[in-house]
Amino acid sequence: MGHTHRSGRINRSTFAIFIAAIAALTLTLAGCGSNTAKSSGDPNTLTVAISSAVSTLSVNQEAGSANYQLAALYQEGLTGVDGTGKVIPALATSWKSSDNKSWVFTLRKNVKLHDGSTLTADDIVYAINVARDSKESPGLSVYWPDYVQSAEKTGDNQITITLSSPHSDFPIQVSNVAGLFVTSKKFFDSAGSNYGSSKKLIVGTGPYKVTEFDPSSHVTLTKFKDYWGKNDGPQTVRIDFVTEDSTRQLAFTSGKVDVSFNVPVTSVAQWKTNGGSTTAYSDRSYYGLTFDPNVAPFNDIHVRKAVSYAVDKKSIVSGILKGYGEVATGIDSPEQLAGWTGNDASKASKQTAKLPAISYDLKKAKSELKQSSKPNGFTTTLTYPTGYAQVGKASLAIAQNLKSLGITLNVKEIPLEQWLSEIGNGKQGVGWMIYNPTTPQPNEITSWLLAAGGSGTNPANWNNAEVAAETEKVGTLDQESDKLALVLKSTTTALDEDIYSPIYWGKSVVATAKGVKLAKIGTYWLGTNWAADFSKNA
Amino acid sequence: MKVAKFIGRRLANLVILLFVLSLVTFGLLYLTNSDPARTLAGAKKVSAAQLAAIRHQYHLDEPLWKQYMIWLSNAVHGDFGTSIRTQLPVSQMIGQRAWVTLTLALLALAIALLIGLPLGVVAAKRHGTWRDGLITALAVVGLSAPSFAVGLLLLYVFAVKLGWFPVYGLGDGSFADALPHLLLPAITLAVGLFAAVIKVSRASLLEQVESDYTLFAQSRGVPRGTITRWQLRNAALPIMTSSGLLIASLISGTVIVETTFSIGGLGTLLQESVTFKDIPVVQAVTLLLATVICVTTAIIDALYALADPRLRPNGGHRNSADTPTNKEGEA
Repeated sequence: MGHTHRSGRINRSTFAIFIAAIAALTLTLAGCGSNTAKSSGDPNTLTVAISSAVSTLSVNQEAGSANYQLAALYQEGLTGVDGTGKVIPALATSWKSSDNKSWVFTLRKNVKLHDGSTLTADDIVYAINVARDSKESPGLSVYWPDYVQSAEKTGDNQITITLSSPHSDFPIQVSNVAGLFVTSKKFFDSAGSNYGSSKKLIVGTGPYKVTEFDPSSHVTLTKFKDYWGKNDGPQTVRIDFVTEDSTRQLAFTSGKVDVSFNVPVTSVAQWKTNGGSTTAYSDRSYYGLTFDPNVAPFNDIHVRKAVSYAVDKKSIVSGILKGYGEVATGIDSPEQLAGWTGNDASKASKQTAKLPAISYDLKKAKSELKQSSKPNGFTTTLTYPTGYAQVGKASLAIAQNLKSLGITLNVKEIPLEQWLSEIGNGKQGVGWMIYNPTTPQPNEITSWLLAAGGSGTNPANWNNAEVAAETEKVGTLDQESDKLALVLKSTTTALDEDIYSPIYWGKSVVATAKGVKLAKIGTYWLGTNWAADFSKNA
Repeated sequence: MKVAKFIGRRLANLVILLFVLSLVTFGLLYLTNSDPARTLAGAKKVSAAQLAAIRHQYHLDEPLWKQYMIWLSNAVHGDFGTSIRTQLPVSQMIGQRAWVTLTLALLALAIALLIGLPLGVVAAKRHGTWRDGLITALAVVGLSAPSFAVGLLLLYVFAVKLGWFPVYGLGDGSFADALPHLLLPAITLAVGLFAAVIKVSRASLLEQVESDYTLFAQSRGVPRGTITRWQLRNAALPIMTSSGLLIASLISGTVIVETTFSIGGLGTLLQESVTFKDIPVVQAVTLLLATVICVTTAIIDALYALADPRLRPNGGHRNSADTPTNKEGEA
């Protein structure tokens, strides 16, 4: 009822003053902001943005890939890797075993820990026992299989680890890309449950020392001056947790960070504005479909093959991934298998190319479905985890192709954690397998996928006694060529039976700001002192 | 006496509410389809024995009622347990982040009230004019704009293009550095809030502006300032009630804003913990937030009495057992 209104004191000028006051307030607040807004211009500090936050510095507790990436800078194992994945000496200078069961490690002398103490064999044995304990190390203990019997100090500079069965690749397990992160026993005991927390931080032997950690924001590291090895990296490295992709992109393009990891492969071009550049590298990840042969209608090989023939892998790689990936012809990527071909991925690639993975062919898909128990199609669900937009798009592309066969594929995005829990739960006939290997174990992926001992032993709940025995045998073989041949043989069986339908091997993209150089990097570079691969112009 | 009774009753209500809430949260989390042991181990080869060991450690292999009882008996002793995800004490995890969310929420509330109230008053006083139209339109835009989009827009304009604000994070970890980092997130959060403040304050003041007593006072030549004071006082109750409700939407809003600006506060902690099924953390954060909401509403209820003499325990209806205070107290 506007007509009852009387003209009052709040007139135009008051209103204008009010608006001006708000504007002034905003400017004042903004002023506060710009005074402290950090610039990344300092040539001695490298600022890196990563897509996940870690809640603890201890990989023993939380063993996600971000935890490994960070720990590679501040903690070491008995062994380590170089950029190609070759196992190299770290806290052990050499190791030997006559029977692949009793492994003797000779320790490096005079290694300093970040707390100033000198590393002892006792520290290492203690770290091994902590890592094996599922209570102390719920994240890491899974890398310590049942066949590890004991770890003992057998001399001032010697440790012996005894296995119950022979495993020729064992030295990989005691690296900081797998199961061992050495710290000082004294520090570990005194920190208690605060080990790796923002209060007590962490102590290691690595090239960098953690000086600050805020699980809600960042980790800051500085060069460790008493490091036993060489470190050409920047004096200070600050790693910021910027989980939201678009925010990370803004932070990068506006020059607030020098480097961003985890550039989404679907939007690489947008990161190159403002003089930034991107580097892609094979990250050895495997993306493919898993069929549970115990769940109808996927218990019918014709159904499985019909679906596999309908997956247009080439289009997924070129269209959805924009080329940041490679059509997978097998399960373990050539870069991963290269550990058995003298760390030469091209040699492994020649072998994987021969594997009988199914290629896109809609005609064959239709004829397979006709021969199956569901000639007129069926309805099923395919879930993919949050944070994997490219997998969601690929799922939709697959669903589109399956539609022409009469198969309705309902694509559903679910939280990563739920997706993880549902892997191999025996209820879904088809599911995605997304596997990011952390270790250089050449058959890390197939050691699980082809552990064909039935329900619960592999994500497909696949049961094939012969394949199971072969997978078991791989670790006991001496010759690398024999191991490769055996793994490829089992992979062939899995592909022939179409239990796993490989789609692509992934690539990761790193963005570097103008003035920041990234050296030539290998597929395992994040397991090394990766900060030293960056150099910054003043 | 009445004050003690008021506080006592509110406390009893709070305890019952927290108990029911903890039960519901526990039950809902139990129903979600994920297994913390599997999530901890990740998508890799883990033996059944290793999974069982992890489940046993966190009592996940016990029946639901027993898990709840273990949690409850620890909780009443002030021990909120250890996070399944990080193995850190829950109280420590919350302690690290609570101040971030609290500062963010208070800043946002202050900005929302500071901007929303005067605008609402102007709109009501000058309703039907272009200024009212502009302010109402602003409120509609503010209410309907999703905060993640507002956040990104503000980030792009003020942090990237103009460089007035930091783009992300909390700075060097000190409170002094965190404050400027929290401003833009707080403004984002305030956008939806101040719109609500405008709407409520405009609506309730408008009622007063159009009331008979205003007309009467104006015709009698009562000074404008006095009339406005009367109107504001009468309009205060609905505004206060809605401010209480704002606290709840403020807290739920922090989840999105904290994610957009990469601020690790309670919102992101709750979200991560829910998806991880990290029951101890979810329980503690939920109860903490519920307590904050309950205490704030209780304070606001108590403030009614200040604003309105009729609602004071010893106010106008001294002899009546059925005073409005009691009603408000039980509301």
